[in-house]
Amino acid sequence: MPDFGSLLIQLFSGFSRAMMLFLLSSGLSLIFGVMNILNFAHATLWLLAAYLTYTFFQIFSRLWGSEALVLMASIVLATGIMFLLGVAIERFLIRRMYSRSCPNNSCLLSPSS
Amino acid sequence: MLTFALILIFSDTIKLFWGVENRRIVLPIEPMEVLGSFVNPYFFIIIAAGCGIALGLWFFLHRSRYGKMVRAAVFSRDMVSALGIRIPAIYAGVFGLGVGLAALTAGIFLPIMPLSLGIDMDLIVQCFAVVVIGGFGSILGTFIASLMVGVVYSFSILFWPDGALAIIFLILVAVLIWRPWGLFGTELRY
Repeated sequence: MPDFGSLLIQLFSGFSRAMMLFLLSSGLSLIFGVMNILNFAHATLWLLAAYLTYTFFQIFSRLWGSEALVLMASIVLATGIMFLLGVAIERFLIRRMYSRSCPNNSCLLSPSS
Repeated sequence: MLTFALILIFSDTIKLFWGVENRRIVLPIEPMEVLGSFVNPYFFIIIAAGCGIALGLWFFLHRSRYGKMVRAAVFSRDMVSALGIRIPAIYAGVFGLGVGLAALTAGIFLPIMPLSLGIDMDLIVQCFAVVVIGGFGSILGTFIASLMVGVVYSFSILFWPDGALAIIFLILVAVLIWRPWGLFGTELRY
């Protein structure tokens, strides 16, 4: 039986993982609830945002030193960019799919349709 | 299917711009703190930020005008468009909101999480498990389900690393047999 310290650490890491899953799944659930689209690329866009934030943090920390405020600025910037990217994806890519017939509300594009 | 293609597109975009090597974790200065044993204090910030964002999302959905439009669109798309609210704007906004939310969580988790290329696949599988267990469209269900999945996954990594994902799927199957629309989903959304 592992000791209490490692159990505590596992609990914290479990909670933080649960937080991440919750936030990510809320976005997924919201998108499916409103638009009936299962956004498979949700986590990939999350990863893209993480890389973007990382890059911004590298750039900004070269200018202003690596502190929490710089991290927050890069988070805000990356979130704004990803929001615009999401709107653009919906507008230019997903919107074209609405006009096609979606049997049973599951929009899997089959070659015959 | 389109969004599945987006996975491939964006994965390769990442590979194109950032290369395949793992990115070192970002290091804002955070010393270790003693709380019985050494715990990274950033975890508390994460949990606080997560709860804060969840509260913000709840306030947006329940108290603001746009949030109510979004919830109405979840309930009945046709009525909302019959009332004259432009549906395409809501669709674009909600998709952007979901992606922005994902981006926010990515930024928050950046200091404790080394970046590599395959972690999104592992994560999205668990996300689908969470959403199915909790029920689509229900934030409370997502919260409870994510707590369950997150803590169970983390603890089974400690005791049985290979079976962590298997345990999650066992829970998923059990929930689906018992209540196919998730623990908190409404019966309309199957």
